[in-house]
Amino acid sequence: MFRKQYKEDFDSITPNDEFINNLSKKLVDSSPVNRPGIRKQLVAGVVIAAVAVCFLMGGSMISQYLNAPSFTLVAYADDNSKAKVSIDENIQVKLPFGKISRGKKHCYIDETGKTVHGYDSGFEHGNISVEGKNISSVTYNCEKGELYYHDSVMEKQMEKDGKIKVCEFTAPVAMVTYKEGEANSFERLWNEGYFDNIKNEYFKNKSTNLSDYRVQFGQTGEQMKKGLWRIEIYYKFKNGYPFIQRGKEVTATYFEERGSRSLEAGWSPWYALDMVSEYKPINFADLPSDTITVTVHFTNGKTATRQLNLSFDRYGNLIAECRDNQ
Amino acid sequence: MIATEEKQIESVLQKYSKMLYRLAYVRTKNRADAEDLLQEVFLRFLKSNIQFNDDEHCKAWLIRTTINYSKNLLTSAWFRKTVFQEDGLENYANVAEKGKSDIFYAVLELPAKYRVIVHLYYYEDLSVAEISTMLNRKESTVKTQLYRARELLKKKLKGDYGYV
Repeated sequence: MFRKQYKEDFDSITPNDEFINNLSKKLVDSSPVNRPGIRKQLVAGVVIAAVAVCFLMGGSMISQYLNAPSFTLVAYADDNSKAKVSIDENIQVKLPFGKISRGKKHCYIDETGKTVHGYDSGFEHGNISVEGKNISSVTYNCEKGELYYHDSVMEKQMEKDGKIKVCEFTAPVAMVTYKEGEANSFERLWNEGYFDNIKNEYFKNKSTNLSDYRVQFGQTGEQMKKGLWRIEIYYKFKNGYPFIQRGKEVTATYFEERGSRSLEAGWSPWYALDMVSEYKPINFADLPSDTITVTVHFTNGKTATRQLNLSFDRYGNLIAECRDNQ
Repeated sequence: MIATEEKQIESVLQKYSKMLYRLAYVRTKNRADAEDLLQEVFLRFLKSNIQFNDDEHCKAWLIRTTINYSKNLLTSAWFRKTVFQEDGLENYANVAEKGKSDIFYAVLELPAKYRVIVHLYYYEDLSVAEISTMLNRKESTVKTQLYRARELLKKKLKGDYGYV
């Protein structure tokens, strides 16, 4: 009832068409490629770059095997790609992400009925990456926090191959509910044959046991007006999506189409957030530091390793220091 | 190449403008500021030139940027003096919209951080885990804020609309 009414109230909060049209024009005009002079420069730039690439290719292929492999550690803020910081060896540097903070005091009643006191805590997400030539992959290991890597190329391929979502369809709200155990629950109707058309269309040679899948109910404002559920059935992955790595070690693979950004890995200091949430005084500078070991694998089979020490200053800023391990 | 970029800008605008406008409205409580906010967010999107992993990454970035930029707006001296006091004046919602249900006005009277979570949870149908990832807050923080928001709404709505 609350959700339905809330959605109805907010459905009409939309920007007017004229504003969107004007904004669209403004954005297209502000686009870097549409600025005066840029198009000509672009064409000239492409020609010069093409000549330069042809000229340099022969040399670089030889030097790739002669030069010692090297790389630079970099960090990106999540909300602005320009906020990139290079992490040089043995110099402490403030990263463009990772600020940890404590918010207001709170309390809530947990599942056992106990009142839990604590503080809101926050962390600005961002990524660590490497830049260098002839890199094939990068393995990151950390001791205390959690690393995250999303292989978007693998995800796109799996989507294309139909390995993530089995199907999507709509059904009347009046007919089916997502609440388990009720007479018109989706599971019950599914087992009783109400959705045999869906089974016949999408589940040939597949298990029709719903426990093998993840079912998601959703509604857009439009679907709500029409009294429809959008039901999506996804494959269940026992160990999470294969294109997402999460844990103490992740390996990022280089993909030409994404360049060095394909080597980015996220880092979350849950251990520190837990401490910041606790109901006691805190000095961010006293939070334990974490060490990330970065091992870069090059296309010629060589590897290079560096250690990245991550700690917080008294204001909660994330400070990094890099040590060469070669 | 150029046509592709223009198409991409238009496609992102079409896809996310309503969602972000509503979120901006929830933060600023008025349409003029929501439009300013939306424009700023899309200009930042254009300048940032980020390569997004997928639609979800793009959506999360836009939501976070909307919230972050609205924080700047809400804390500007002009906005504080001329529009409303963020956590004060609990019973005064500076809202020009007419003909909405009590829920609409009750939600807009909540503190800003609760409004955003309530909106993402009840309108955008995001789970606590998704909101937590999107806002970079711990799940327990999101749960607490949702719990507090519900408690405040229950008081304001005095039991109408069933379970919040």
